[in-house]
Amino acid sequence: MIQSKGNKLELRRVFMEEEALINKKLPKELLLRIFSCLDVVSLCRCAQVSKSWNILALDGSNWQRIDLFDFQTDVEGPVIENLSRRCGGFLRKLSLRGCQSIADGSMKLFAQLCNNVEDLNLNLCKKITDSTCQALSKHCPKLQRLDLGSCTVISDLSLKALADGCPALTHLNISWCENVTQNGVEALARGCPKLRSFMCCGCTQVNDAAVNVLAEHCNSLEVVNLFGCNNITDEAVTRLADNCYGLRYLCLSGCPLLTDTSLIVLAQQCHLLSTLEVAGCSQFTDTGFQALARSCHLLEKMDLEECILITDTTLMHLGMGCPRLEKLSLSHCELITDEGIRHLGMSPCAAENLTVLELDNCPLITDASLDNLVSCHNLQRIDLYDCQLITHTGIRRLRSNLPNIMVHAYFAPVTPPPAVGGTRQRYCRCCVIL
Amino acid sequence: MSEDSFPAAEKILTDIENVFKRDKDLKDFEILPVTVGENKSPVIHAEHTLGLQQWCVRHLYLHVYHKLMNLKQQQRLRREDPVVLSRLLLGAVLLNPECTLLWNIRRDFVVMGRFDPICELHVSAIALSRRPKASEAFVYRRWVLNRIIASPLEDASSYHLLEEELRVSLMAADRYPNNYYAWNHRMWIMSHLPKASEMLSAEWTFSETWVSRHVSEHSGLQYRQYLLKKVLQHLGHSEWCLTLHKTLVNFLGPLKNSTFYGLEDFHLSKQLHLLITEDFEKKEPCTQCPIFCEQIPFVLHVGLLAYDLLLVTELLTLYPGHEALWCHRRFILFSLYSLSKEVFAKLSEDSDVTDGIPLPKTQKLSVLESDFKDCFLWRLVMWYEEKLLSGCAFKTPEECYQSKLAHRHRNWIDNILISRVPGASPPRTQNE
Repeated sequence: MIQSKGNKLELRRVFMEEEALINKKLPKELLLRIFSCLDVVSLCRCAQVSKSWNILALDGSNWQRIDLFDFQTDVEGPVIENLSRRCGGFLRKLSLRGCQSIADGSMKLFAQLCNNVEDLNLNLCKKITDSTCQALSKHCPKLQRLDLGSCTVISDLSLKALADGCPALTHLNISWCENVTQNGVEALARGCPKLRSFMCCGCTQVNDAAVNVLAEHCNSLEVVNLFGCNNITDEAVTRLADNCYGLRYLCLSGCPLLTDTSLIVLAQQCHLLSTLEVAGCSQFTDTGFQALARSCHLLEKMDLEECILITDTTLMHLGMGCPRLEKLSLSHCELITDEGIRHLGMSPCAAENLTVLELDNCPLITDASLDNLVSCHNLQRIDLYDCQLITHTGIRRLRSNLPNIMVHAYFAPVTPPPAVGGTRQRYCRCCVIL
Repeated sequence: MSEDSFPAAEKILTDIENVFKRDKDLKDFEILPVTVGENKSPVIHAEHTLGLQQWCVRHLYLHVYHKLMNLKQQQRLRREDPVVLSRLLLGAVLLNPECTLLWNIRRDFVVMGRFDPICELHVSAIALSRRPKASEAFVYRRWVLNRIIASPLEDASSYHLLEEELRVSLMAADRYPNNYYAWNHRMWIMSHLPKASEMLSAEWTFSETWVSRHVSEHSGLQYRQYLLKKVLQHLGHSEWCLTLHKTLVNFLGPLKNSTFYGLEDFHLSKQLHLLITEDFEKKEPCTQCPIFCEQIPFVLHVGLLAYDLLLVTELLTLYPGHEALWCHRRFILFSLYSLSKEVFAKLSEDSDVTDGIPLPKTQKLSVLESDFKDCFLWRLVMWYEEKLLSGCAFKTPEECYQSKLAHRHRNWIDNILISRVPGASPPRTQNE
């Protein structure tokens, strides 16, 4: 009796599964198609619904794009190994950003099993060494985007391997890999001519010769970040500007050897430039920026922090020449005065596009500057730290004109009025009536 | 919500963190009484001291606290950008080192290997410089130290560690009177850190100067008691013997006096008595050790306790009316009491052996108890007590208090020490 009851229950469950409306209406192929649009978390949830869904949800074809950063970063090697086995050739994109315990062993297995990977993010996987890149080079010829940021152990050998095995590479980030030298970058440039984005923040051993070879071979470069490569001189920037017309994003922050010559060549060749970061290039003067403003009309974001020689003239030219300017940083530009801000405030960019303006540590700025900015309707954030001539009153006036603005200054916030104690009515209803 | 209300908070936190990065010798953190801020960084750094203006403290702490609590509630602490998180935590523990949760989050990150234990010691030291009584910070320090000493250390680094810990606990003790946590931490250091036993004699000297300058400091005296116990455990010949020689000559001086008549009758104590008084009188010590610490049993014990007894007597007469000193005296007396008993037992054992016929156990015990009060050491100690107490009747207000304390002390002696010896009346010296 009991046995037959158990059988019945089981039977019913099986039927349920088969007969569940969603399974009846949707053929497996369609379900699979739907699953392929889900993210990792939802897929794992679906896999727990029933046996048939489990099979469908864990089908490799659904796992083409995996980003573990928002899901879980403290994964161990075996997770990656299982993932690789399950996904196999289906996997196109994998992000392991911040998964610090991932090491070479599991990555090698990954490279062998997932040959078709196109986009791989290993940012902050600090245990990764050259042998991972060698495995990738051997097995994954389709690799297009690779992020090795902060994988501090890797060296020139990695770049050489990538140059040999991944000719399709378009995006590469080797920021803070301080072992990388000129040799590695040269090999990379020769092997991967399709490179469009190259980031090497803090690679102090990357020098002029490296950038020259890069510029010669990779003409389609659009994004170049040389932050903190402090050996770079005008020669490298000139070569870059001469060869890569399509440059949109250029970061030269922390390269103190550069002079106005760099800005002038950029102005002559790279008209598409939209972001320029030159924080700490203290030799740049008004002359350079004047040339830049005259020809690069598409500039949207500029970081001029600590370009200590620039004056109001630069602001005047930027105001006239760059109507798209959205974000401008003038931190520590100590010669800037109210006059410069007035020019900026009157320019076409101010009224429409300017959203962020950083003026911290500009000691000559006064409240008058803030009054000149009231026409910037889109301004969302203004930084005024350490501008000691700015007063509370000035900020209040600006706020009253631009109610949504975030003012960053060292003033204490206006304390919200203390919440009225007890929302309960003091009198009960009958008392009110009486 | 909190970000909108005070956007400068992150900037201030960055400023604080920069000071930490720039100055590895940072020693102090203080809140400056500046209530109206200008548009200027409230973080001030001068002479290895970090100052924060008062007006921003409230807003800063609210910002940090809410942010951390939100992250904690959403269980996003581990995924948050470590750079942001480290400066949030830094600001939080500086402003409120009493909050266990904050230290626990830091513990988590130390375990994960994201925070360096040595830096953690630095941070907690700075937090302690403003709140020297933050017990959580001390607990955290011990936890970190336990982690550090779990792996073998080089000699140089363990000395460095020890010195730094001693410095921090001294700083905290200096800044807050009767700082139990600081002295407790110091005791922990002395018993747990490697190489700490080598510092014992230096600590002993240090503690002497400390208690002579802080006569009301119970915790400091308690630390001295701890040291005393520790020193008594590790006794041996050292440069101390020379000092103890002088002490013992002073301490045993009254024995030659006629007030201790008839002492020679007691053959049990005679042996030791003669040995000590005669040998110590020699001007030039002939052997290597002036007090023969190898030959005479208990001489080091007696010397050390006598040293402290004389010290406390001196302090009591110099600074009348401090209860802490009287308490310390009781501790010494009790130690002397136990010691006298031990000495006595040893001597009678020896004499038993020389007689060749060991006494039955019961008889031995009774002999021990009845004769105990006649042991020369105990009589000498009681003579000292009598001398001190008789000199404690004064008229001025603080001396009034002193005589009150002296009265209590006498009661304590009568009730605790003497009543423990059955059948013994309070010993009185003959000149009374």
